[in-house]
Amino acid sequence: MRALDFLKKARPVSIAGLPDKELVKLSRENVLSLSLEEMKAVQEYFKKKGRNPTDVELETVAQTWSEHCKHKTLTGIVEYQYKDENGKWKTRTFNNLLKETVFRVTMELDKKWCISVFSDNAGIIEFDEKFGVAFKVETHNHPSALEPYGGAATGIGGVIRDVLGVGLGAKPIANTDVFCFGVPDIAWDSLPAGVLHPRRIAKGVVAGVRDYGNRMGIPTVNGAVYFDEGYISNPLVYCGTLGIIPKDKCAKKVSPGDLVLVVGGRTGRDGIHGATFSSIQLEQDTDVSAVQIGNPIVEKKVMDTVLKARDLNLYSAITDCGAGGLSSAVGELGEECGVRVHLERVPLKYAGLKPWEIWVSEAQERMVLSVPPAKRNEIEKIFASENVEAVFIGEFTGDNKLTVMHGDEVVADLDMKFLHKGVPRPTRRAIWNPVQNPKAKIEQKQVNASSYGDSLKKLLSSYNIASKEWIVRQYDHEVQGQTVIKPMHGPSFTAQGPGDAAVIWPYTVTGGENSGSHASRKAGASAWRGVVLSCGLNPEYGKIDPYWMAASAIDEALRNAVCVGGSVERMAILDNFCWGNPNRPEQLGGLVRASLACYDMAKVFQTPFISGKDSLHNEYALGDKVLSIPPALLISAVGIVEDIRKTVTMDIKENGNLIYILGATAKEMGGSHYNKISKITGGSVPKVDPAASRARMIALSAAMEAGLVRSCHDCSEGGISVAIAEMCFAGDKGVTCDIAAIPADGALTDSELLFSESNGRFIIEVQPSKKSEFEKLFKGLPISAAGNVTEAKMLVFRNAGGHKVINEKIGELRDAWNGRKSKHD
Amino acid sequence: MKPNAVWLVQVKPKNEARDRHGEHIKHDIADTGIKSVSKVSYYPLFRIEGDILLHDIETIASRLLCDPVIESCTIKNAGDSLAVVNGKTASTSRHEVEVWLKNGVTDAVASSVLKAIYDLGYNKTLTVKTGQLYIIEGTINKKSVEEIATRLLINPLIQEYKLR
Repeated sequence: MRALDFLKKARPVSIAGLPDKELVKLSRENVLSLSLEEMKAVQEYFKKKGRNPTDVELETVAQTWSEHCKHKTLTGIVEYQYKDENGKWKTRTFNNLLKETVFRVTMELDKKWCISVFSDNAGIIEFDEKFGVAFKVETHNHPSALEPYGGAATGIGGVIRDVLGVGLGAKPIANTDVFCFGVPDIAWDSLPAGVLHPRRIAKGVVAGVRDYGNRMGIPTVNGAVYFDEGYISNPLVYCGTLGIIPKDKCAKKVSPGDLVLVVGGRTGRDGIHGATFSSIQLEQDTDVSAVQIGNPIVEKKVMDTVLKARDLNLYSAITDCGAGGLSSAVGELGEECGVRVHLERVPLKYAGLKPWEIWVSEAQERMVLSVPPAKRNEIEKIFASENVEAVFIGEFTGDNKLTVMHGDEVVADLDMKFLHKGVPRPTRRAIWNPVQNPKAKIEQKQVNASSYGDSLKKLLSSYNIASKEWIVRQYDHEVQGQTVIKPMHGPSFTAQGPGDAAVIWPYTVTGGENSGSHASRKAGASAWRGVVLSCGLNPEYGKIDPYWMAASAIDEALRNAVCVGGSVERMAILDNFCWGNPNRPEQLGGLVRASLACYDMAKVFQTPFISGKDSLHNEYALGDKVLSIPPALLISAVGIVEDIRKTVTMDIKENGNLIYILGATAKEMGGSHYNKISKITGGSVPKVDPAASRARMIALSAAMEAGLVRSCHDCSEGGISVAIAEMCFAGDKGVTCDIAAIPADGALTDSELLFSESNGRFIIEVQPSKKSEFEKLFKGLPISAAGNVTEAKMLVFRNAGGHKVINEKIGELRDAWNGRKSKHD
Repeated sequence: MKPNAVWLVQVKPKNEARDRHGEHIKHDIADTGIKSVSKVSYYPLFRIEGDILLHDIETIASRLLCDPVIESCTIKNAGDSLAVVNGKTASTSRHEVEVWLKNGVTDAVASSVLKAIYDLGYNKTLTVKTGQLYIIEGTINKKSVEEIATRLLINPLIQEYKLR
């Protein structure tokens, strides 16, 4: 061997005969994140082969078996111990938690309009006869903790490529973003070492999503922000992308003989070990190569060119280069047949990369395509004409092997079966031992108008409810010109309120109103069809019970979508779990409970899960203390809106109209924002009755279809008082409401009626002339006209005794929400 | 082979233009509890290295790196002190912090600049790096400036700073 060769080529790693302790050390020192059991499986495999693995092979296995790529925990065996209603301990064993909960409900519901579920980079549902809608939500928590701007930017960049890499490629038409940050007012001195201040993280993350999304020319239309002390060390960054795809382009098929084409960005050391890194808790000194930096201009060119090549049928399969880099992307595409690649052909940013670094680098903006040899010249020409680097690095074989070459040396030679099916399935223990609910004491305060009014203002200005306009306005939510329902609602810039969901009318792709003239369609059948996007998230409930947190998130996401004109009968949902360390039984126990709720709720709502992702190990070691995040389940909903002209916004429209409250309020103050600002913990969290909730949603959709609803708002954080206040200042109108008329479950106090966050409730504005027609649709449901829109710009809640327990100027409420000092005195 | 020239292009807002980024940083500094900073000025920096003459750098600076309506540029050989660039002498109440990406970190803006330079017709091998210059004024000592730099101006994972 020549002297310099060792710098370039693969290095054999001695693994044969190593004792357990050494195997663990090897895994840790090389950031492989493989458990002892997994290391032993690798050892065994190479023992059979009669040789040691190379570093490239070891890295390939580590990437492929990483939590990020394989979801080992959720698809693993879980032994779940829990206490039943009678306080008896029971055990249930899941052979595959995900398959027995989230997947199972989708299979059982078997909706004909689901085109692709859980099998590709994104889920796809049917839009009309010609098109499908693809939706994917990802998390990018660890990178965003280290480098908020770059982490969030590459998060959105990655999920865009997921949608571009579903089937043969969907055209991205909207982005979503949901963040959980630490509280912004934490003192600098109390920050753990190595942790960026929550404000810096928030500003950086928002700027990252803004710069990447805006430069890609994709509108960011929906999102949420949640602040909690538990996210100081470990923020959560969820990014989603919605795409539209022709139905005949929803499947990919790699054939032996096809060529492997890498397009887009060059490969450097960035993001090495991102996939395995996401499986380990954050340490104080995490190194620079794990940081990914995005370049949206490159990705924009990749996107445009890929879609062009797609329409010319120039390739047979595509996937994005995300976690695990080429090793995962190439390995996945070649899973069914085998593949041989030549690493020296991969374009590099700079010289000096070792073969394993090229192979696992998570440099951004790259896609891998499988190209039939006959299309070789044509596809090369297209990418060259758009200035996008595209290089053939190998071919798909038929030998069911992964062969990686560097020059004339074989640096990896692995069986696909071992790589994709060889990961050991350990049994994890999960335990759920509900905290003995210390009954929250909510003191029945004296009826005192100023105190409830103050509470309402305090709620409106609290971090989680206050206006997110400073974020929303940085995003372009209208580029592409298809956004029908936007994030902020109201008649002017001064009067604005928070919308519940976004609606996109993808007419530039689907043909919109002109499509009615197509001979193949019924005239105008889907001309005005749109897509609704929404989300639901409430980690506060999870601190008390993850089951009801998950149920509430589902109810909230669906409610939000229904509020603007979506129909629960044509809606699918996505799950994104962010949890602590699943090796801790009590953490996993909560995760099991949340998964069970997903099954129970989706089954009755009849909303299949079409895609999902989990991010586990969200904890942070500091000295000998381990801090875990409050578990969070984000539910994103995507649905079809039959006629975008019938969509509804949340700002109150006309004086004299009736304000209906749909859905009963219950004594459910646990985890409420009122409790949070009053520093009350525990209590009973809002439950969900999915059958009842679904019936209300269907009735409400019928009322919207009939054109009877002037405005509608979801009732969630802060309860009825906050929901109606938001509608008032958004429309610059006043409302007077009778607390006694609010539909209630049992005898409730005024504060409970005003601030309880029970699920399944809506506030609806209806013209008096439509009263009987409207009420007919809600027969047998808990609904009442509890308020009126008034001439005076005041929000008034009167109690049974006729006292005005809230009597506030609309302008002051708006100022509280906007975080401004009031000038309305 | 000719030795490479190293040029530093500093972009400055013209007199009337507001330095919003500088104002934001000043506000953020106050949030950290350091109240004695009276002004923060922010300037993007471009470091261009290669066999290239001042005349060409001037073209590149004026056509690519600054917006002539609201910005102007100064160009110096990188060896020169920035304090001279600004035509003022450094005083204890005026601190200059230069921020650069660490080696090996992808610099997407720099690669766009490089591509644009080649699009202008230059064909010699150049390297470009982007950075930022912050000038912090007020009654504030070096230790506080270092604290500001690590807390607000850089992410030590990917960036490093130099005090001038």
